[in-house]
Amino acid sequence: METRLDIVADLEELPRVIAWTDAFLDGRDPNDGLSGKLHLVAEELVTNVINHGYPPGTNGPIRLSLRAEPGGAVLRIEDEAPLFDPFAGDHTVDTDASVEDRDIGGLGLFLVTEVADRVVYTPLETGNRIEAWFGPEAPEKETNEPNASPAPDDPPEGSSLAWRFAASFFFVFLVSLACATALNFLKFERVFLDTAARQYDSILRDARSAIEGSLGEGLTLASNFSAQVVIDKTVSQHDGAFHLLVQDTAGETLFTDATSAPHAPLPPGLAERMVTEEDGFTRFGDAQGLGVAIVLRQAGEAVGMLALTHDPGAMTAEAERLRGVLLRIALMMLALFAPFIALLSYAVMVPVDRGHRRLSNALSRITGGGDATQNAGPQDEYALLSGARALDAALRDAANGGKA
Amino acid sequence: MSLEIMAEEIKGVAVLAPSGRLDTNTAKLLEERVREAAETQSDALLIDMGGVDYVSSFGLRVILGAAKTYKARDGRLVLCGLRKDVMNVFRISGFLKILTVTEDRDTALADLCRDA
Repeated sequence: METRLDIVADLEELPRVIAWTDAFLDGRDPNDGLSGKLHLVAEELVTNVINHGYPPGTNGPIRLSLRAEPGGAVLRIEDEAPLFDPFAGDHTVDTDASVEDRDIGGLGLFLVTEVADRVVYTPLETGNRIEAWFGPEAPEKETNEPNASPAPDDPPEGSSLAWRFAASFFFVFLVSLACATALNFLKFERVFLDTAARQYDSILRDARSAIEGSLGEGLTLASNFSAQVVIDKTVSQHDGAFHLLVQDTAGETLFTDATSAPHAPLPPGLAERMVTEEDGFTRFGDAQGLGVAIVLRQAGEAVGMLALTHDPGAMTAEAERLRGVLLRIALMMLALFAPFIALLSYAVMVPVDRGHRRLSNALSRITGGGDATQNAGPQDEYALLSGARALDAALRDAANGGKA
Repeated sequence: MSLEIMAEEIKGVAVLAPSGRLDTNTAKLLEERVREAAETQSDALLIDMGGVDYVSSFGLRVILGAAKTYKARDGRLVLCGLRKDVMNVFRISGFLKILTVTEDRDTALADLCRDA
């Protein structure tokens, strides 16, 4: 059961508020003295909004609602006044002070916190909300004072939000890092081959310059044994990681390096095709062997081509070895960071789990209330109300990001 | 939703007997009567709360103000006949520790007259 009342911020409205709380109770008093408590807390809170919430002379709106709880009630008061938590700071009253020393003011909010079983302030987008709980079902006594030390597993909303934000941030960070690592992990060969290709292009260009530079007047490519020297020297400089050969324009091999045969067979007609093309690198080959070729020119005329071939298997083996090393490092890092990740997961999951538990409790209460309605009575009404209220609270909490 | 106040003088003691609700809107009525009583009879004031079924912080404020006034003049203030809910609010506020509260009017008058 819930009832609402909208008033304007004017002390003349107080009698309406009191009559409204009486109508809500309708002669019942489920909690000893609830009527008097509701009168007092409603009057003090409404008076506080009128006298201290809205600027003087403005009669802004005040929305009240009362809902039944098993053995009690919850009074909610919302306004559109500037944000202000009346319960922030120290509002205790020295009840041991003498008549002369007692302050004449400050009793209203003190009475509210003493009479209600729990008071919660919530800032709204435009205004303030105060909820006062009465009865045995009220959550533990609390007036959300900023100085109050929070329970270890129940941090205040701001702190909890910061925690969850940090946890989410780290989670996303770790996932991105893992994805980037995995992608690079798979791309090792590609990276190696790309790097090698750039290196080979450079080697090939240097070798071509050397060969072309040695092609003097009257020499032909076939008779220029400097080319043999150049390719032998280049291959030996790089420990035979690749092979070089020179062909004439007809596709006949003129020189090869002193080592074994080239790893990759040249595509048929490569030399003939290349001389008609512009200068540049022509790539060929497959998984068994890769190569790159470049045209050789004498006095601006194509006289043959220089080709470099290599075995990609060597690089694959190196990539495999590095992959193994990285896998071991990753496992070691995982072992080191696992407790940290577990802690983060715990920080994120605890509020979520609490929300689920509340929801589950609410549902089970509803189920209990539903069964009991077969022997309808006041208790059953409360069971249903309680269940509905708990579900409402759980859903609202979930919407608020699991505020405890 | 109102407050009525009977004022009389018994054996030289000013007696105020409010009846109804002593709240934000009505507390000033009692405040005026306390001021009048203090002006005419400065020694002793008895507030008979038997007819008061509700008191808010504004009501408490007026009673504390009365206590301060009489204390400052070396006079005496006694309250009597507090109902259960009102007594509870007095207890929470700590007023029972600083005010003289008796069960009924006769005890209060006897107390005030003995001192006088």
